[in-house]
Amino acid sequence: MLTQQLLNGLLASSLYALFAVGFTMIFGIMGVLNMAHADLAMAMALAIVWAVTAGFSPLPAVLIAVAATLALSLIVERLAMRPGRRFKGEAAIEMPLIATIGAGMILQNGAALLFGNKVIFFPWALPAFIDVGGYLVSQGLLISAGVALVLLVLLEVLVNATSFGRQIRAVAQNPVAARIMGIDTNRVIVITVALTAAIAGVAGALVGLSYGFVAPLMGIPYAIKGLVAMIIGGVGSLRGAVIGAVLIGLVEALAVTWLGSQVKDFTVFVVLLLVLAVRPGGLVATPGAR
Amino acid sequence: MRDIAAPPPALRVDRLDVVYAGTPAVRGVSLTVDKGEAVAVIGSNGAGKTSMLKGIMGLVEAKAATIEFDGQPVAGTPTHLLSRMGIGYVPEGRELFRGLSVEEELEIGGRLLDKADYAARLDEVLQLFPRLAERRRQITRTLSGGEQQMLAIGRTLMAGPRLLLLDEPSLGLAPVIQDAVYGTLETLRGQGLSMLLVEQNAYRALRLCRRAYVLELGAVTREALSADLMDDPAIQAAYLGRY
Repeated sequence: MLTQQLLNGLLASSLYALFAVGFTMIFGIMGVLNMAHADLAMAMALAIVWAVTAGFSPLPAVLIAVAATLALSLIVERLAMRPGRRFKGEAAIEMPLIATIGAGMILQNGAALLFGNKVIFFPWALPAFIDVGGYLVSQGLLISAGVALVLLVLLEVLVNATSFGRQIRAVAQNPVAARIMGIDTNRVIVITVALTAAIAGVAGALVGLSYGFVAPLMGIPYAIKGLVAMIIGGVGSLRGAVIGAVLIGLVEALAVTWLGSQVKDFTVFVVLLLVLAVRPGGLVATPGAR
Repeated sequence: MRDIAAPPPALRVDRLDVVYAGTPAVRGVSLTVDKGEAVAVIGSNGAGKTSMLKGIMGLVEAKAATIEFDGQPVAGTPTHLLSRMGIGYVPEGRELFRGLSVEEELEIGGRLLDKADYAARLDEVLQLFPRLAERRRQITRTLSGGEQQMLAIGRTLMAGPRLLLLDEPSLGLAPVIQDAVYGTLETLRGQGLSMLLVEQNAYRALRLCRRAYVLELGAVTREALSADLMDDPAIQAAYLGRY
């Protein structure tokens, strides 16, 4: 029973990890939170629903949804985040924070207007359970974990072993020096936002695939879990974000097993407070982060 | 009067102003750096030397009648494009990427080169700064001050600049390390690299550069050959007294 729950928690944590790395990358490179980040996952999922309902076959439907998600992410960056870079000090953090909360609400309400504020069935659900070594595992979550693992490895390679990854880290660590060294910081930021939006989009589609339904407000719990995972892991650290996500997934599983599902979220925040009390900077030190 | 057949100067700045919240930091500064020439700007702390360089590099809001690089007007050009055009800037405080390794810093500097040019340039830079070769895999924040200064210059040279702007390269370094850094700058000057050097350490700057400007309260008060400035009792009293 316990192993079964831990396995479920581990698989679910792969989705949290996809959200957490997005939050941490944007915070790392810009020093601000994109509170609309998880709503981009919802946008992708609902765009797929729309495209499939409109009669598109799977590949064009995904391409349309990806294009819509990327376009929305660039609009959020341009209108809600970039103006903050003109400010200094607290205002440079607060302005995009408030503006992206607003952008997230616009996305949520916009989706509710278009699709109704209700649960919508996802066209490609895989909620069935299969037997893996004596344990019952959700097909959708298994695929989600596999996709997440591949994406996280690719992201790690991109950030740590490519020229563009070095530019991302350079902008994150010292934007002025990056400009001096000929790096177009706005371009690097825009590409990073688009990249994280694509990851969020994949996560949104995987949520639909795993649980069989999506909704205009589906991003909210994932935003909270992603942010908590990021803070537990150490803001600005990709590996930390993944470790934080796994911890949350496992803690949730233990809470469900021992205490019941109604205290799932409560225990996640208890763990967050404990980690902050012992290691305020998170589990993984991030010297390069701001 | 400049000979019209002569090549344009590496840098020409005409009436540069930098104002911070109503307070002028740089007032109508005009200067020229000819091709292959090393020019110093000396002045006390707060004279506006750093603001002047930041104004040229587009890092602070500045107004100028003209800023020309190699005869091309560049006033208002974004910093990253100035860098790509060939202006290397080594800022005060080095401004390294504290989480990157020495090798990664150098790669950032030379990232636009093709493979063969990159290898050749890396070789040149590591010959200038052998210490960096020994520290290739080290994270920059763990380097000594002198090594950090060498890396700041080295990564800038990786891009192959045609003009080098240097802000206080001797600041905070032990005299023996200053000797090493200035030894490298002499080599670069000998190779014909145009340089504009901003220094509080006037003695070192005047020894390296043929010509110099004196900056006081944001304005140029003198322009002369370095040798003449070093012989000038007023300059000796104000800037060279401790030597």
